[in-house]
Amino acid sequence: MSTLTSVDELRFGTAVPQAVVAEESLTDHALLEATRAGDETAFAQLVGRYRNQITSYIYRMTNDYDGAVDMAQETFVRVYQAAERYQTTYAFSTYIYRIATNLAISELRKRKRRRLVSLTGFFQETEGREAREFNPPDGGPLQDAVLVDTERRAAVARAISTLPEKYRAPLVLRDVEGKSYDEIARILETSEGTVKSRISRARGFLRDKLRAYL
Amino acid sequence: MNCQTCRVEIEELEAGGRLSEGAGAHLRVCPECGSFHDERQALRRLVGSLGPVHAPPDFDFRLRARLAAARTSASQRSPWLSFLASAPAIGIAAAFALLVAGFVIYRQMKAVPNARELARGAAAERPEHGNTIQETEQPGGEVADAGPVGNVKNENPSVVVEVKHQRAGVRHNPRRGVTAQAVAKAPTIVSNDSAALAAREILPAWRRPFNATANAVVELPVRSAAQPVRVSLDDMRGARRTVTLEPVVFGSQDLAGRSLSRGGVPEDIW
Repeated sequence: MSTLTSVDELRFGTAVPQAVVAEESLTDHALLEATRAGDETAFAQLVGRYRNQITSYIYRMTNDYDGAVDMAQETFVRVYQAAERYQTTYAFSTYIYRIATNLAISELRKRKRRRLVSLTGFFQETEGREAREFNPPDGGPLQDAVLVDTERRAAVARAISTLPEKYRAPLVLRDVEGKSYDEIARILETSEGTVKSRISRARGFLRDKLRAYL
Repeated sequence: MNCQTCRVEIEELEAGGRLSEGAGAHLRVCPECGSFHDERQALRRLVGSLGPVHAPPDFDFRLRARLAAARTSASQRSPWLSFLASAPAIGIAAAFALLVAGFVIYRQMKAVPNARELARGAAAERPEHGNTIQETEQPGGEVADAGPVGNVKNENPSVVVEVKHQRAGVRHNPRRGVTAQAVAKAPTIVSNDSAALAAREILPAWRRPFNATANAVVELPVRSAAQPVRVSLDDMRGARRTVTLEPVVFGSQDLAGRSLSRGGVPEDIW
C-alpha cells in the first residue's frame, strides 16, 4: 500500500474514475485486495457500500448521530490501516460490523465510566429499578400521522438505547439490520445459542418498555 | 408440539418467514402462544420501522482528511513509539523495570558514602578510645614490643592469636594476614562499640595476628555485637584451633528490632 501524503491523493467520493465502474461488480474481498495493492478507488467503493449501514448501525447502538458518524469513520480508518492483515476467512461485512460493534461498545463503556449526568438519565432503567417513562404516549388524539410515527420511532430508539449493551447489539443486528443468527454470532464472536438467548431477553425488555405501542 | 418449542420457533422466525405446520397448528389451539406470536410480530415491526440512517454528505471528505492525518502521523512517529503503542503492556513493564533498577542503583550509591564515612570515623576514633594491645607479656614479666611473629624470640612457645571478623559474603585472602603481620610492627586491635550500627556498616574485615603468651589475658576487639568473632589460635608448632565467639545481645538491640542471634544468652538476664 502506498503512503499518502495529502488529502487529494484519496480521490474517492468525488469524480468517479472509469476504473471504478468496473470495480462496482467486484466482491468486497476483491475490493479489499485492490486496496491492499494501493488502489484507493477500490477503498472508495467499499466506503460507498458500507458507510450508511455502519453509520446507521452505530447510531442505533449509541443513539447519538454525531458520535455515530465519528465512529463510522474510525471504523473505515481501521479497515484501511489493517488491510494488510485482513484475512478472507469470513465475509467482509462480518469483519467491518465487528469493528463497528467493538467501537460502539467501547464508547458505551466510556460513557458509563464517565457517569455523565443525562437529562434523560432519570427516566432510564437502572439496576433493579423500573424506568420512568420520559416521553409517555399522549392519550389524546393526534391529528398528524407523521407526528405519531416520529414519536413512536423516538420512543423505540430510546427504549433500545436503555438496553444493556450485551442485549442491544444482537437485537439491533437482528431486528434492525436483518442479519442472520450465524452472522451475528460471528460478528459478536460468541455462540449462536447465546445470540438467540440474548435476542429473546432483549425483546422481553423491549416489550415491557413499549407496551403502550404494541 | 408444546408451547416451549413453539415459542422458540416464533423467536427464531425470519422476517417475513412462515411458521411450520406443527407450530401453526399449535397456535390455533393455544391462545397464549397465539398472543405471544402476535406480540412478537408487532414488536419486530415496531423495531424494524426505525428505518435506515444515512451518513452525512461530507462523510467521504472527512474520512479522506482523517486517513491522510492518520497516515501522516504514523509516518512521523518513530518505530519504537509505534511498537510501544501497539503493546502497552511491554512499555509498562519496561518502565517498571527501569524504575526498580534506578531505585537499586540509588540505594547503592547512597550506601557507599556511608560506609566510607564510617571507615573514616572509625580510623579517627582508634587512637582515642580503642582497647589497644601493643605489648606482649613475656613469661618473665617483661614487656616487649610485639613485632612480627617470626621475629619474636620466645623461650616458651607463644600463642599466635589471629582475630578475624567474619562478615557474610566476604572471602578472606589468606596472604593478607601474612602481609599484615609483616607490616604491622605493633598490631593495634581496636574495639569499637558498634552495637548500635547496622550489620552492613561494619568495617571491612581485617586480620591482624599478634602474639600472646600462654595464660595471658588477651582483649579481643568487638566491632559489632551483631557479628560473630572467630579467633584462630596457633601454637607455632602446627596445631591450630579456631574458636567462634557468639555475638552479644543487648536489650536495646531487641527494641530496635534487629534480628540477632540470642544463642547462649540466658533468658533471665533482663
